[in-house]
Amino acid sequence: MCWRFGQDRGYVFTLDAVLSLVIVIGFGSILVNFLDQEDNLNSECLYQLAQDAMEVCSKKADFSEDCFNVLSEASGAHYSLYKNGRKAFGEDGKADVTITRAYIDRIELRVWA
Amino acid sequence: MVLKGQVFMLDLSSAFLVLLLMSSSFLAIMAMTNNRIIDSYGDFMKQKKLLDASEKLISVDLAVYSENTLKRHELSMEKIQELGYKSVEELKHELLLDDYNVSLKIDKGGEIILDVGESSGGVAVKRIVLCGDETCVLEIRAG
Repeated sequence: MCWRFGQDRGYVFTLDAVLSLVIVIGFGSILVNFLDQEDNLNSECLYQLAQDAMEVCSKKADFSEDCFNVLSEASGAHYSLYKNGRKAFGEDGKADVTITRAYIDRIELRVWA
Repeated sequence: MVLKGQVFMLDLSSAFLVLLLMSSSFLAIMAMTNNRIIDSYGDFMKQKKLLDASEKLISVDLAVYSENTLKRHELSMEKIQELGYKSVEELKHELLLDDYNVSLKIDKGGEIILDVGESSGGVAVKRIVLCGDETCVLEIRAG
């Protein structure tokens, strides 16, 4: 087998390019994995807390802001409550978790970190 | 002729070096990803066990018993007091958390009414419950 000088250069260049690609993909996937895992863990906790808050406030038959305040005190999460599709209180934001209960009114609790 | 041979050898050794770097980087990336997955899985399992333990506490161990029913999310103050007399080892055993350093706290309107065990860092799970007419926050942590 005979090697040619010109072809070797191309070969080395291709290997360099592949190496860079592998490194970029590798670090990218590590970063994505890392962020995804954290999000999953946090949203799991947030969902449980939101369920608890809804359960406790329904037991107290109190769907006021005072009752749901404990949610932000315990977790630092933001929330808003909607009654029959209309906002009763809370902040504006994109909800990570939404919990809906059909009582006399349709109650919807939106929570985000 | 000699120069061409030297250049060829130089290129060949650079190609080998690049190949070596590529495979070692790949192995390093795989090892890091693997460690990350193992860590995440460990945290996930810990959190799952904590959720199960907190569920047991608020549904059975500390729940109010009335009319032949355990009232989920409603904690009995007597049962909370009784739990305060237990050792951490007993608590860990009852909650199936023998492998971890566990702490349990119940906060009633800013006042800590139960504080068992010492644990910092690790994973914590908080639950919102009723203590009588007031809202409490139960925090269970495993380090």
